Amino acid sequence: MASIILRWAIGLLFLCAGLLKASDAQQFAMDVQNYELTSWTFSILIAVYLPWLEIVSGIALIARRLYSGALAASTVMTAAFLAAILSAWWRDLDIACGCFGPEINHTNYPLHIIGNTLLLLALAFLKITERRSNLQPAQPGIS
Amino acid sequence: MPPTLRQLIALMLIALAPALVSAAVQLQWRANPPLEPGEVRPATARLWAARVLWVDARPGKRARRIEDAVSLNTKEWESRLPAFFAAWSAEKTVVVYDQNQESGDAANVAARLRDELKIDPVYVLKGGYEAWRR
Repeated sequence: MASIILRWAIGLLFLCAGLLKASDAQQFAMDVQNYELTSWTFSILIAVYLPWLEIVSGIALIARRLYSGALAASTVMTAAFLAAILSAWWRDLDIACGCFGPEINHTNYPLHIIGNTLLLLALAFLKITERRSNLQPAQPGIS
Repeated sequence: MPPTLRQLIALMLIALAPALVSAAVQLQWRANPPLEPGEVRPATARLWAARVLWVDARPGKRARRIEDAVSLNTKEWESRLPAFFAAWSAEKTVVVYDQNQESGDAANVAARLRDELKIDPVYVLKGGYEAWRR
């Protein structure tokens, strides 16, 4: 039951985050560039592609289709974002995080780090439960 | 190939199609040129709000300027410097702007602030006052 709730919650989270960013790719490209980790061209490529990967992964998590791949994609995206946030905090950058589309607010770094670490733990939990369910022998049919 | 990797590639390929359509529809590649070194976009400068010292590099009197901006331009450099230093402190981030960056006034003032007065950080507002007003 817990894994179902988590799966839906994380799926919806990625779906919403992706939809909000996909609606304004140019603004998201600027948000990406504000991290000062990528060139403008690469920021645009990220801004165009990443929201759709979030949307597709979110839908896959909710629908439990291509589930293992969706878990992997979500984990990689979360880990990459966590690394970017840590890097920005380390360099004392005062920027909007860009997590949910256009925002005019300062990034609360500790809150984002805690949130994304919890998200990574939740994804790990889903991966473990998936493995366990795959290892369980099939229930014999009742005749 | 492991199933997880296979599924991951499948998801990435599925995401590629709408991403390409979105790119074709949304992106106006020249509308937002990349930041040059030492430039800041209006949205980022707005975030810095309280710690920004705005410097209006447009020569002559201006009816409209960014609130609390100090006037400093290369033509009236010496006479305007006292007002600049009265407003400036080491904690401030200086953001220089002109009308729309075409005159190069903001870049010139920013360069003089950096090179002659050794003030750091100094940014030029991307797109100038016109971008700020949008």
